[in-house]
Amino acid sequence: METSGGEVSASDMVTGRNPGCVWGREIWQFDGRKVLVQNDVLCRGQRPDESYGCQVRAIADATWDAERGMFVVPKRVGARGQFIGTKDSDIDPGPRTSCSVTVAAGEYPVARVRNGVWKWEMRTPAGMVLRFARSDIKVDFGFAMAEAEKALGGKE
Amino acid sequence: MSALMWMALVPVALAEPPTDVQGRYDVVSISEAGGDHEEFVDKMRRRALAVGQDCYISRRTFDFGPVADGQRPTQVAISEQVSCKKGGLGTYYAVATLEVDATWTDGDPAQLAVSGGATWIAMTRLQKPRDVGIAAQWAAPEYKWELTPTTYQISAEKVWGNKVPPLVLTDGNTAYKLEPREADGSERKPGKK
Repeated sequence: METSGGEVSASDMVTGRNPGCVWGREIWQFDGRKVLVQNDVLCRGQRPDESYGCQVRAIADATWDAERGMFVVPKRVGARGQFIGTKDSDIDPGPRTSCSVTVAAGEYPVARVRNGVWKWEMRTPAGMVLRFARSDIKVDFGFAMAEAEKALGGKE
Repeated sequence: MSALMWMALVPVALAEPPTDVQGRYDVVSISEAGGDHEEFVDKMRRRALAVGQDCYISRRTFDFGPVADGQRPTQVAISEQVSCKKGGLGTYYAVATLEVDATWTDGDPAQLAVSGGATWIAMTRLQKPRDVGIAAQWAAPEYKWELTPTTYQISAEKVWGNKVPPLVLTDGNTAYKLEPREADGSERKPGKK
């Protein structure tokens, strides 16, 4: 049984699903019994000097089909996190402090490919191919905010 | 007043198999087989206080979504809303939602099976520094929630007039009463999904 976990270097893919957000990442983890998908997004707040980092995981039961080299998820699991400020709260109201992720039911074939260096690839039931990179740095929201500011610096 | 008259004035919750389940329902009370009955929010607040937690579950919602007439929902979104107070964030609600499969079995009692799943949510508020430096950060406590696959006995309370009937979900010795509610917590009227 091979196990793998990694970070999808696809900030655009994640922010595309979360309008108003300036940075994102998707993390997948597998073992013989579960598939875990985590989305982290950094989104601008209503106040110009504030941003919000939202994180959500969906964890679904899975089995590993060694012969066919795929994970099989029998039941879909969707997860959503939302943070709502009350009138005496410092949190912005509105959808920018929410995030969601889904583990679709179906087959997830996994391949190890050599393209200069070895990489893991996986196809989702929707047909999207994800290439995993081992996440060796712990990027936090402070770092992501500084990077996003730098990237947007020339555009504003 | 005669005993017969007195009995006639006591509200009696009659139950029947549910025919039309859709939209949002909030869990409002929990009853145990031993006779304990408590409002959901009171029970959750008491449980949190007992273990010294600052956060407590203030709402649990079953959202069956809009469904075409005569059909049963094949998915249900179950949410737990946690009320928290923390420096830098103030008082806020964290809502964790799991969307899972719903399977219905007719009969007496009727059954609703929900598939399992787990989630974890977290949030960080960041404030840009006035000069060069790192952003100030305030992190909300992480919230983990695992939903085990459960088969509930399900019934609808008989109601008089034009009202959406409350539901009762029974899991072993515990019965949960669910009332139809809007997202703001107000009563949901018939025809609204």
